[in-house]
Amino acid sequence: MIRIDDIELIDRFIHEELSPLEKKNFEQRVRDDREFSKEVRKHIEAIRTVRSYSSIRFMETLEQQMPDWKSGGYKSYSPSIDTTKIMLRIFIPALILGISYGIFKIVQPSEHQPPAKHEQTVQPTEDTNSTEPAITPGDSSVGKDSTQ
Amino acid sequence: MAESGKSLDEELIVQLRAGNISAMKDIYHRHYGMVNKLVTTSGGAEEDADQIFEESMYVLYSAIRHPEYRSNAKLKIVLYSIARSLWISEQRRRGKSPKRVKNYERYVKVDISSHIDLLKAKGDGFDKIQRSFRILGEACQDVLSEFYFHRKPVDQIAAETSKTVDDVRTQKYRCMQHLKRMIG
Repeated sequence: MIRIDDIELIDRFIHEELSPLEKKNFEQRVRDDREFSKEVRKHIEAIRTVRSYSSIRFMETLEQQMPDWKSGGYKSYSPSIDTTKIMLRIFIPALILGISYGIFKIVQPSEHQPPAKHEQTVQPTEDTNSTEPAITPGDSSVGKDSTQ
Repeated sequence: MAESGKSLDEELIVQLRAGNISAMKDIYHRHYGMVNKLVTTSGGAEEDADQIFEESMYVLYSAIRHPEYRSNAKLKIVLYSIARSLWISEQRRRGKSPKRVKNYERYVKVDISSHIDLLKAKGDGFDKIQRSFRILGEACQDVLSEFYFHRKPVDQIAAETSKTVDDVRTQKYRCMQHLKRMIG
């Protein structure tokens, strides 16, 4: 029959309370001592049974407690991930990029300004292809609903 | 603000580790709304939200009982992450696409393997387990459950039951040997 000290040693192993040296010795003993190894296996099986039983009991207790907790109410929930934060996270880098680009564009022409003789001026031309009808004073269609 | 939030979380974890049920009530009051929103806006019903909350509490309890438990994330984030993982796996189980889950919080990677143990425990073998435990008697059930499931140290169990540490050690040993003989 296994001794109480050995049971406590197995418990400490299962609860991960052994020092590295104790753990090494324990594992060596499991390899060398067949009877001890058998006891360890039986003990682990019994612990599994205790835990299974206790976990079901725990869940039953929770189920019993829930109606009581519900009657006490709960705090209304507001998500931590709010859209304002997300928008700010997008907007601020975009703003920084925009400002940087603007500064770059302002600085760039002064450094690489082409000679004056190559400068071309764009003359405003009359758009002959425009399909927009010209609005003339006294045009009766302006401001009127087309369905009328 | 963050500091006070953190210390409140730590306080709740200490209380949960001690098996204080009122800490769970406090967590329900603070965070059930979040779990409810997660589930009900992703195709779930109120009953689903209740179930996911209960199971999340179980996984959270299993995680924080572990002596190695360390998390830099707030309790709210951990609970949200657990609920999210459980709800996704529940939707998969029902054959629905988990893409429908909406995210309202940041989430971290969490281990929900204890939930698989729970599902196994609810399986076919539970009747046999229950029978074995009934034969053991209430005193044995309590001491084994406190030590192996709730991970309470022997001296804490002794203090809570007004017994000596040696009495609890001996009782635990006898009960365990009895259980081993039964499950054979």
